[in-house]
Amino acid sequence: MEFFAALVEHDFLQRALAGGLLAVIGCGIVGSYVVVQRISLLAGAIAHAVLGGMGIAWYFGAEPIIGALVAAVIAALIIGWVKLRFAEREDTAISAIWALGMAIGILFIARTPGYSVDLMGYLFGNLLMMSSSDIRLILALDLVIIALVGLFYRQFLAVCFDPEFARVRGLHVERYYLLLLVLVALTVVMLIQVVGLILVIALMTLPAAIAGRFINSLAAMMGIAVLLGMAFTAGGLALSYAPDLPSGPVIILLAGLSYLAAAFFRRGAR
Amino acid sequence: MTTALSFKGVSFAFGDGPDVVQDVDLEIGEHEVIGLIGPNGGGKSTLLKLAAGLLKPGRGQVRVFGRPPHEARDEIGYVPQFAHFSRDFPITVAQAVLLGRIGSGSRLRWNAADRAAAARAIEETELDGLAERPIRALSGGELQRVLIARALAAEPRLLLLDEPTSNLDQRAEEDMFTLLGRLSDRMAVVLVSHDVGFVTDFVHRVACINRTLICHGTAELSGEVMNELYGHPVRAVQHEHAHEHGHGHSRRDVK
Repeated sequence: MEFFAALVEHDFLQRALAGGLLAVIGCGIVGSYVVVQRISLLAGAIAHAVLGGMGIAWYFGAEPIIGALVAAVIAALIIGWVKLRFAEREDTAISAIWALGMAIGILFIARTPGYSVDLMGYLFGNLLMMSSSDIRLILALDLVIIALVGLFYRQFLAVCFDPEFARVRGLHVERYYLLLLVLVALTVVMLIQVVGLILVIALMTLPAAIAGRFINSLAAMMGIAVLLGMAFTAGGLALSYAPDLPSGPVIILLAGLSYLAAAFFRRGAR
Repeated sequence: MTTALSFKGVSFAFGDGPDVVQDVDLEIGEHEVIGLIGPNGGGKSTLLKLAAGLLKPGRGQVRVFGRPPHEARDEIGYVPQFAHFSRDFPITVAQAVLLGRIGSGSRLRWNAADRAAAARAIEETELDGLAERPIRALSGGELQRVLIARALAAEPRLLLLDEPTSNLDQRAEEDMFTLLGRLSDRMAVVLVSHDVGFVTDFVHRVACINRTLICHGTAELSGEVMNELYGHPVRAVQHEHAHEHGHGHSRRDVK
């Protein structure tokens, strides 16, 4: 109740809730692709490599979130290229990109003059610091994701379901795959403010993984994943408010426990 | 007779490796059912992928109804190995079959022609009752029919099937061959298998491949041919199966 009273009263809480709810829209859509494609390792590497871009942006006095956006897209394209060209050494190469991105980020942040970066906020998220410009960026990224998925839904479905068959039918499978990874990159950037880059993968995959256990179509999986993501984000924010806990880990805790409960329920139902 | 698929002096190697397929010449007529058999690694799946346009020959020429495969993709129905297929994808039978129409027609949404073609393919493969079922709830034989229906949705004139008999029980195998027999009235069918069991009753012609084409024709597969094909002595065992339909076929298993 304390949370609801505060929500009516405080702008920062309203911005936190609005930003969180908007971010999980793109997250539920793209997370469903990550789950059915089983590319959470790739998504994890993109999320962590983002720190490199943020560190560089910080060092040169630019907006860290812009650095994150550029780094996420570059990391997605490099990782996609590695995956498509060097499939047999894929996991080592992806882990290397993961670690390299983080190392570059930490080095640049350490060398930034007058260092006063709240690194923890980017690692674990800080919904309560959501600004109006953050919300506008999240909204823009949501629109890009919805437009691209709306435009290429059938093509993405065909490529995820059976890339070999899609290739026989003349689809440019590699192009759609890289585009999908770019969507993952945009989603990572949206979620950094919500749960931080370390917990991004959990919020991207857990709602979709829960939905996938009960749903028989990718579109419905996306819809349920968005609703679940909204419930976890709002619930996590509300639960964390009164005891003054960081909201990101509480959101992920809710999602993780729900995933375990769904797995248990599904097993029990068999 | 119109030629549906032709290989002329076709060789293929992965990267700088040795030829997996070497100097293959083969022509398949428009209503033929042909079995491509040979040992694992013998190049039969590679030959099928060359026909589907998934691979490009290093030397020689592959033609589907007189055109390169990538230009004739609307003529080609491709059925991958169902045994390796991921079953936990959230998709129903009807949605999976509609995906057979991807790459032709409207780029944005399924149109009436797409839906009609998918419905015909579902009916032809006797999947009507399963259309809204998720693929995770299907048996091996049912999933195999879904993949055939998806290929048929594009209304091809050449159907290519990779290992369609592996992991099927005998009843499902029989049903599949009955279906393929019906389909051969309007299209050429090429089956790949390491199991020579199906060659007896169901295909018009057999092509044996172990890197090169060792035999092709309707002649009995002799022990010598099998030895040459598989690289070691092959024990051929005759099985007589009593079927519900009241007929039997002899089956030859490779030991």
